[in-house]
Amino acid sequence: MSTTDHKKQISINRFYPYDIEDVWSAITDPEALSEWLMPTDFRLEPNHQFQFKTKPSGGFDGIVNCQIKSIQRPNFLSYSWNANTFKEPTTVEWHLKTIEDGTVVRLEHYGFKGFGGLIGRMILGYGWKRKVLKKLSNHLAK
Amino acid sequence: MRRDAFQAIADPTRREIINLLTKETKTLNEIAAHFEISRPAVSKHVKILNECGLLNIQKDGRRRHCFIEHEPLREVGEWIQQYERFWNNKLDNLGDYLNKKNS
Repeated sequence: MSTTDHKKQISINRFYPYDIEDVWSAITDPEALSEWLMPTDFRLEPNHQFQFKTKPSGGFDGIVNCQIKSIQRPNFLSYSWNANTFKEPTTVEWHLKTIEDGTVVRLEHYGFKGFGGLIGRMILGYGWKRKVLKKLSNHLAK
Repeated sequence: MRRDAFQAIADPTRREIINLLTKETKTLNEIAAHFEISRPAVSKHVKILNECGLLNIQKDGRRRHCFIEHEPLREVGEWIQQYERFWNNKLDNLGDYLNKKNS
């Protein structure tokens, strides 16, 4: 699949002085992922649906819903990345390349489109009622 | 009482209208079609949202196009910034993890 037609909204390069197989295993092993990224039920299988879990914050419920899109061991991995605050799922891509004494990782994350708006996010969030009530009581106290 | 965003979202119908419009611009008639309540009642909610500055109305003959402006675009920028920080942190963690595992 060509990805050149996507505007790559996030693209970060990192060099790790380790073999490409070590890096590949760190980004595809659920135990490793749970340690350095977030707790997950990831499995390296086509179309596998999995989640990352973290602390809720603001309107975000702390759950990232993902689905494997493409696996090209050990050079490429992509999955969808969706949160309750997103209007549409985004895409995460891992590009791994061996260079002399290690591996270059390029992480890309794109597909961020219009979100629910600030107010939409507040509506999705559990906190909106409290915020309204606080605002209201401030208002009445004036 | 001055109208503000908090007053706007205090009502469930108005919250639903905002949700509808975050997906796409709609005419007043299209919005009204989504609700059981009468068109004038929907129109009143739209007017309040407009007065609160959350919704814009553009007249096109007899049609009223309702849309939420600029807010989603601004937020895309915020999200990208936030995720850029997130991934930079996590890629640091990945480096630490690899160091630890291979030491």
